[in-house]
Amino acid sequence: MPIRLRWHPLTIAVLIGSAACVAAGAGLPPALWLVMGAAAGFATSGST
Amino acid sequence: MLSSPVWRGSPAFAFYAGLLAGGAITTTVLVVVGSLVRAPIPPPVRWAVVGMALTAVLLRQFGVLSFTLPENRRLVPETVFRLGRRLGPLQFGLEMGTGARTYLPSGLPYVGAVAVLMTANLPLALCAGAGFGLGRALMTASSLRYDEGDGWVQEWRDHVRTLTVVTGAAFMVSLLAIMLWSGTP
Repeated sequence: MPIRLRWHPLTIAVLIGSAACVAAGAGLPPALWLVMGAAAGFATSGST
Repeated sequence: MLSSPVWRGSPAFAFYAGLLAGGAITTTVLVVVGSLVRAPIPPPVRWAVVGMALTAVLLRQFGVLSFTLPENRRLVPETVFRLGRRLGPLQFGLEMGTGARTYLPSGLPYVGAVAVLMTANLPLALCAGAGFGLGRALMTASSLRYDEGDGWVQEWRDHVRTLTVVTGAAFMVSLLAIMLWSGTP
């Protein structure tokens, strides 16, 4: 039986936060803009 | 609607592709308009505008301020699926990805839009738009795999305050780092 990964909303939010810290530390503007957009997009998840 | 079995496989991937493209379209429009709007404004003032937008939205998120943000207060109609098994989800994703077609329950996209409008060049704006689509796709992908019902959405409702804080913090860290690494102010 295949293993089904279940991603809790808090897990994803923490991963996005971690990605923000890594991109900020590395000083990568494209990654920072990507993560900023992802945080904004994921924050709208309560709508559906 | 997103819990439906039709969202497995290629229709889901078409939907994700639509989300990314929709976000990129919106930020492309913003950067084109922004290149005209911000031309006479010095860079420190541009960032001050972004900072004011961020402050206002964060105060609103935590109930200190109360004001209405512009949003399209209606759902994407079911007729969007008339285009078929792949093109329907692609169009649905495209419309959701623009952020202008339906409800936006968070203020963060507005701050991101102001940041793109005031400071981004085209490649960085495309990154922001793709990121917005990716963020929305993460919700769909994870909720589809969570259970057969709406368990994921219920988890979101149960932890909405913590999620608001964590996503807001991730957004702020990114935005502050963008400002610092851009050398402004």
